Amino acid sequence: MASIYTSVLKDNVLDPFESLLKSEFGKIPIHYDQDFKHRGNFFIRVIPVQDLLDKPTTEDQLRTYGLLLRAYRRTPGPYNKERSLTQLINYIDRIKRLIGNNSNYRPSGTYAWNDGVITRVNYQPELEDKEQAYQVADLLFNCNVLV
Amino acid sequence: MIDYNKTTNKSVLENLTSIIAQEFRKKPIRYDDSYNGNTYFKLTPIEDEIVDIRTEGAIREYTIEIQYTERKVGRYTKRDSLDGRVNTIERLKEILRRATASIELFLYYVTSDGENFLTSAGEDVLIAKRPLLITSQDDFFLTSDGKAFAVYPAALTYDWHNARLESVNYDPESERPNYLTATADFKCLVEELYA
Repeated sequence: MASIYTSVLKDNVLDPFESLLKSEFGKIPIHYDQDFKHRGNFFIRVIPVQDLLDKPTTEDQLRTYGLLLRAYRRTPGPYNKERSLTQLINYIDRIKRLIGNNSNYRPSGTYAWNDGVITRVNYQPELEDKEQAYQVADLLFNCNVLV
Repeated sequence: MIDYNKTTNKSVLENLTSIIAQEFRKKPIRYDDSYNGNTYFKLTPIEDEIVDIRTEGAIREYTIEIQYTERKVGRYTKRDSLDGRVNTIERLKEILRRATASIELFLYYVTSDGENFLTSAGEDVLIAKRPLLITSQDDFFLTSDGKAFAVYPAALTYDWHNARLESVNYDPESERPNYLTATADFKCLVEELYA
């Protein structure tokens, strides 16, 4: 008989994170592609990058999860600071604040995570050739989950 | 939509742009490499990283790359090809050393009629029309026609602290063949309150 388990990464991190972003940004396209694919002019790619045992206890575990969010934005036409730089920067500041406001996240009273934070933003990530058409920024989201 | 601060753009990038623009009035400040003039600065946001998490806020360290670019003139010589970049970067270091903490103090003066006056702390206020108000150390002023001026508590505008220019590099090669560059990393801390 199969053991009963909870898919913590999915139920506590990925799904709540996506719904939190969509509650703030509406129909923002969120994809989980391992390899880059063109998904339109503006989208976010989510890649799980960390699942680390932080503290074992007798019956529980505190684990640290990490998601890499790669935000893509393509603006046609010649370079313009407002369109080509500022809008993505402001967008990222809004995500940082959204996570800051929900660092201990309990959607509808159900525990998802605690100590959620955007640890790092990288505005100059290394890009594949196919990604060069976009303005790209990486955000590293970390949170703890009591399993 | 949540309320949020446009910290990266407003507090860091635009503030840094303003400081450089005030000092180097004839050198354009760009955010891309499409400029073909003789000299320009290019500012590129590199990263921000959490330093400390507070109960209702966070301290982050922001990094902006400042690249100073000069057009190559003839054969490479110290005087024509290096001194200009060195002097510009040293001048930049000095103005940023003086702007380590970007905090400005303003005082508000409000008359009994509800007219507002705003001044930087320490600056004299001179209102040419009657009633005459000349400041600036006292907290309370009476004018000839009996109007009272109250000084509101000083207001602080905060952009960053612990700003510094790190790791200057006089690049031996430039991505643009006709130009010489010097690159420096600007770093600062910004404390943001969520409440």
